[in-house]
Order: sequence, then C-alpha cells, then structure tokens
Amino acid sequence: MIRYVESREGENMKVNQILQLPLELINDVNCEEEIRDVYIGDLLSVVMAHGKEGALWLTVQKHLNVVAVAELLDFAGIVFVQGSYPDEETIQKATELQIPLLVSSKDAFALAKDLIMLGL
Amino acid sequence: MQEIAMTILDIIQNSLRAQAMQIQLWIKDSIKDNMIHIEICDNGCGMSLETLQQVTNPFFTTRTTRSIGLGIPLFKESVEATGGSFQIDSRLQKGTKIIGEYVKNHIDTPPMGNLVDTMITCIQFDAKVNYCFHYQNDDWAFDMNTEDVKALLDDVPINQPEIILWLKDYIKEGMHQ
Repeated sequence: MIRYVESREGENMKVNQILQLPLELINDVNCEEEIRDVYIGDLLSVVMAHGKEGALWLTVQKHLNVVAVAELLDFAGIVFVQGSYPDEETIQKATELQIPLLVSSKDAFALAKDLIMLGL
Repeated sequence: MQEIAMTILDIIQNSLRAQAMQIQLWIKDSIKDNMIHIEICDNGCGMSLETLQQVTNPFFTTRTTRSIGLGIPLFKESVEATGGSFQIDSRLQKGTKIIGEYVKNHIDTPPMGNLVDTMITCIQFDAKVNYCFHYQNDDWAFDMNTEDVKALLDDVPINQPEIILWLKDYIKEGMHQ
C-alpha cells in the first residue's frame, strides 16, 4: 500500500521519500536531494537538451554516460527502470558524485503513476 | 543525437577547437554492406596517447568551462548500440581520425538527417578551414572540396551569403535531393 503524501506548497519531496515505492537504492549516497521534476527519456542528447535541474530521471540506459548527463544537469537521482541495472564503474562514479541510483522492475509509465500517487 | 548528421557536426566542432585547417569527411551509406561508415579526419593539434585513452570517458574533457565532455562518448555509445564499431586515432601536432560504423539495419541506428545543412554550417563557420567531403551509397557518389571552390572564387570569401546559397544548391544537387 502506497501512502499518499500531501504536497505542500514550497516544499518538494526528497529522494528518500520515494524509497517506499517498489524500487531499490543501489549506491551509498545521501538521499536528501529534493525532487523538483521528473524526466523520462532514453536518448541522452535529448535528455541533455530538455532535462531540468533537480529532476528525477527514469531511463533504461545504463552506460556511464548516463551519470555524466545527470551530473551535468544536476539531477536529483536516476531510476533505472524495467530491470535495467548499471555496471560497477557507473555505480562507483555516481557514488563519487553523490548521485542516488535506484532500480525498479516496473516500466517508466507504471513507476510514473506511482510517483504521482505519492504526491510528486 | 537523434540524427547522424548532428553527431558529425558535433565531432567536427572538436576538430575546429583543435585548430584544424583541413577536415575530411568520408561517408559510405550502403544497404549492400549493411553499414553506415562515418570517418572524420583532421589536421588539428591532435592528442597525446594519454589523452587519447581517456577521450571516450565522459568525465574527461580538455575544456575548462565544464568538467564533462560527451561528444565522443555519445558517438561511441550510439555506434556500439547498433552492434557497430568505433575507432579513434590521434597524434600530437598531426591530427585526429575518428571512424564510426553503424549497422545500417539495426533498429537503434539513427536516421542520417540533413548532411547538406551539416556541411553548410561547417563551411560558413570559418572561411579559412578547408573541407573535403565524400559521400557514397550503393548507387552514386558525391565529392566536394572547398579548395576547388575557393580557386574559382578568387578573393571572394567562401562564406559570403550568395556563395553559401549557391553552394547549398550545389551540394543538394550532388546529394540527389
């Protein structure tokens, strides 16, 4: 059962508040970052052009380049959806840069619905 | 990148930043061989072996404005996602050569995009830089060398608006568009 969180004006949900959803944090980072937007996309150049600062990014791409894009745009975190799982090098770099990495077996649409239900 | 032509433009920007005066773009787009071969060769400042080994890592860049360089890593990733191959070779003070070969019928291979615009954008950017352009597919080929064009122009800069318009039509025609 997912608890619905009332979104209060001027206050954004933090990454650690979405951990109650069916997803798992896979690196050891501080999850105090605020989620200011959600972006879904797999073509890195398009994400680079349109992703906003503070966004939680849902993608199936798991290359090291994903971490570079997240760092460049100052994303709140990356969720690898549909069972996509990054390799050790990618996880290490994200940990070094303090970017939360999460994995979910759900697809982006199903997870987006959960995020909306949660009040994002 | 959504289109191969945009990727090429991005890579050529690297060549220009490396002070290249001569840039060669060689494209083979073949259904018969099931591949799209992209080759960009420049006579810019080149890279040391040490730099070369790091250049496909997105967290490596020579720019000081930001710490992440994604041009080459994205090209490599895009090519390899189709089962194709990527190669980069460089020598200090000599230049750099980049080859990307997409598997043409792979579902993730991006569309070619507008090569005419890519060429024109490059030529317009700096009249002093020379481009040697070669395109071929299974049926025809097109070659253009800006040095030949400049020889006809005498002292008129190649990036004058009228010349660019004429060149655009010329390349379009050559590319059977």
